[in-house]
Amino acid sequence: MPRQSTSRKRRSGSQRGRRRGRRGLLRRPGFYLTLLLLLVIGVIYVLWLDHRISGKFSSDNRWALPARVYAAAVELYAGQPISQWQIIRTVQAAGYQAAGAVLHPGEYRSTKRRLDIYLRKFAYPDRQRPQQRIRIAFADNRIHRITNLDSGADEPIMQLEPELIGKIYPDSYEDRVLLKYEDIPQPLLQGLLTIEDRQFFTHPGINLRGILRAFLVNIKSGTITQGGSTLTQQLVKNYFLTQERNIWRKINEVIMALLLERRYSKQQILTAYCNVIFLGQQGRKSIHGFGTAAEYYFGRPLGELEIEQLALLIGMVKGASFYNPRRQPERAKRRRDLVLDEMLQAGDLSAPVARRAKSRGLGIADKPGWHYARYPAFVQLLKQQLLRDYKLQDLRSEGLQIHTTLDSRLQVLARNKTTTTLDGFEPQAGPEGKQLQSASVFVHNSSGAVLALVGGRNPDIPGFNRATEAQRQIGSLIKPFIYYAALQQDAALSLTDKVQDTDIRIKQQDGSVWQPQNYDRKNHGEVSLIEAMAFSYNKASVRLGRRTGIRPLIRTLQDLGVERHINEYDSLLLGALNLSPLQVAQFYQAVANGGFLVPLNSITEVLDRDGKPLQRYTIQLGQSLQPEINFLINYLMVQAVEYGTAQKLADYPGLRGRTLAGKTGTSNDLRDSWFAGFGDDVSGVTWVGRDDNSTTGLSGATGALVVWAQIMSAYGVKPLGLSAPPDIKWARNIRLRLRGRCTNLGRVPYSGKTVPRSDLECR
Amino acid sequence: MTQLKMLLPVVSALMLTACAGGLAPVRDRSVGDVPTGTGIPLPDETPLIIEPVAEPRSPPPVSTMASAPAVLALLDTSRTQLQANDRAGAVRSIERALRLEPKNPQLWHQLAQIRLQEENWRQAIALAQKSHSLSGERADLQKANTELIERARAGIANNL
Repeated sequence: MPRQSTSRKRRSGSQRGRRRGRRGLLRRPGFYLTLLLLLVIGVIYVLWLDHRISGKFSSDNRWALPARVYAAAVELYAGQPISQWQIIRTVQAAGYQAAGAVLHPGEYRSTKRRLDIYLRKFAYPDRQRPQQRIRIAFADNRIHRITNLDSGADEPIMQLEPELIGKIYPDSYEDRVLLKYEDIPQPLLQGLLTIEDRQFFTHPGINLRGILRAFLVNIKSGTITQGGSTLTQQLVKNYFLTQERNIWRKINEVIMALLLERRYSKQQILTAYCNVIFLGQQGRKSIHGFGTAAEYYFGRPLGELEIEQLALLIGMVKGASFYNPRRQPERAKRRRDLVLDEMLQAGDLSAPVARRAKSRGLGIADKPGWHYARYPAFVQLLKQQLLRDYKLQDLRSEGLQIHTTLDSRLQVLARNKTTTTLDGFEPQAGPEGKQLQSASVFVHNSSGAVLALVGGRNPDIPGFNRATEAQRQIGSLIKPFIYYAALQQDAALSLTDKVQDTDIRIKQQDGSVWQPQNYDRKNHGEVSLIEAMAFSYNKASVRLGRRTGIRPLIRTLQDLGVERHINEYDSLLLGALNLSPLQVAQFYQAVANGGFLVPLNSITEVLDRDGKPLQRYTIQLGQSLQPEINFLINYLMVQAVEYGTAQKLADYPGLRGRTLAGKTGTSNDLRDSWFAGFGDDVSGVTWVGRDDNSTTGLSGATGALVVWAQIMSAYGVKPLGLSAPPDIKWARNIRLRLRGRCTNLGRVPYSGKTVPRSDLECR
Repeated sequence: MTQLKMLLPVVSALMLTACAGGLAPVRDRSVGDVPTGTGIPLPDETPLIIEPVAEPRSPPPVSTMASAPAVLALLDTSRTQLQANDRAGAVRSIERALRLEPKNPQLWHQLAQIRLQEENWRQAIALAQKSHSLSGERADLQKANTELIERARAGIANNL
């Protein structure tokens, strides 16, 4: 029996069948069609991936960048009365550090009479300023001379780098300090490549050997310990893909890495990586890129970091949260030292450098280098003003540079003194609405620049900004304008003319009778305008106001910027008008500026992300008050400080002996305590009260004046130079009855038409 | 009483002079920013002197303050910027100077000049008026401001 042949036959039969099937498969057109289809789909998919990455890293990459907000740059000039310490504090706020020798930008060195600073380069609104070393010599508590150490020339005036005070964030709360390739320090690049991707410059996007090695290691250890990802792959991961870890994502990652390398140069990829790598989280804000991380962790620009600080950042690439230096300092230090060791092994560092680096601490800045929450009340006002000209979207994403009017020294003083003074009146306990609160606005008289703004007693909690939003009765702060309207209307009226401070009964429209009272409940008889204003007599003021009429007063207030309708009620004469501290500050800006109103402003300049000017805000002058009459009001307000209701200013060392103008204000039942005052350069309005409008127990003189005085005394307001407009004449040796006593007032101003005739009696 | 009778013609003469518009220079012992009140009650024998007195000022070229060199440097810069047609830069320089010396009438006048060049008539007038209100005794500046205001007013009239 031929068994073999049968089995062979059988085998060949089935084999033939199989082979026929296989050959058949290869012969079937359907097979090739499917293959073609898969290929086409594959190509389309790859093209789609390519499309996704194309344009992402083009040279003018448009990442959404927040707007950066700067305080006013501090000016230094020869002869300026400023202390070394003040200048040091300013540059420290910008991350400058003390050094033994000033060798790098961002360093300063202080000796008894000299301060050397290596200024960083900065793009100012009207010019670029390269980095330069300057020496400031001091003598007699002033700057004696400023020398540019690089050129040897003397500088008569110089601007310090403005302080970054805030950022206006996109909704995603992302923020980046964008680096160009040349901004990335060489040691950082070397270390990064050593730790993460040694073959970066030679591989095509993926590193097959690395993947294989990692694969084997993972198999051996049974876990996924090594990534084997190149920097390119990491970039793809960080930038395009979600956090899922699955095979499809890995495939995508590989394809996209290869495509990326085809499209972009190694330099571009490396730069993008350094700008994109995730390096931490603070609340809603995510920190991407080495530049941003340098600011966040060390408070300094990337280019100023030490090698051990760079090593820490490199180490954090593996896991920013895991190695968070603020929360896990020991773990972070170990990781950093490991990085330093590997860098040493790879020859990136010398042994002594590595040793010294490892011996140093982490160098983390105390507070995260963000300032966006530092002055929330001021930034709120700023945003309001910006939104008149810019869309919120642009503010959040175009990387604009916004230069403001903020005087950070005054702002910090204002904030601190507000808190300590109120704490002195009353501890912070008690329900929210009942707490004693305060708001202040300080303004540069001639430019209308808002120098400082305090919105409440707890400055770090943004919320109700009382400076701009609280509408409170202004009380006696209206009096200067009553007197202004009276003097304007009656050309023959002078400051030494008399008005009766006696009972006055006014019949209201509804038939009721109104009897205003003086603060001390006394009648003072026939008094001069000077006395009535200095001592804030209500009866005299109301009488004077009635004589003039309410309408001229309302017109004056409207000229000063009050837009809404004001009712013609007699109670207006006692300040029954609700206004915000900001509005009141606008009034007194005009009074302090010779009658010339300049709309209060918080912005000087807006630049685009490259530093090109987009908009300049310059002084826009309006004449709201007649200069001659306004001068008389200035004089009256000075008397209030000399011997009137504001005389307590003399208790403060920084204010004693200085000519200042002031007005106290108290509303009904002591619900509002106000003080408005100015010197030659700065004016300020302070309000103290309670949000629920209950009584404070404080008058203008015992409440708001104290806060104002604490601030201005520490700041150093310049004494008011009473420079009279041409039409004003001074009369000398004017004797006036003040508080019943004959007093020699010395010089008293008179407008041309009212020069006094000779008189024997004490006026 | 007799003392006063002697003084009366002096006082009248002075007042007439004042009314004539030309104030005779008067020696004034109270120079500069003297605090205005002494608050001291007087005995009745003190003779009364009521005379309109012009506030004395010896005007410096631009500034006598400590910040003078800085202000001068900024003024220089602004002039250079104007020549280079950088009007915005010139304005910024002057505004920087004004932060140091807000009551310097020369600076306000410069700003008014720039606005005049820009044909911003109303601002030119306002700034010149501001300069005027600070110009004290400086006839040269007062004249310059008056002329500037006239030209600006003409500008407004021409535009209508």
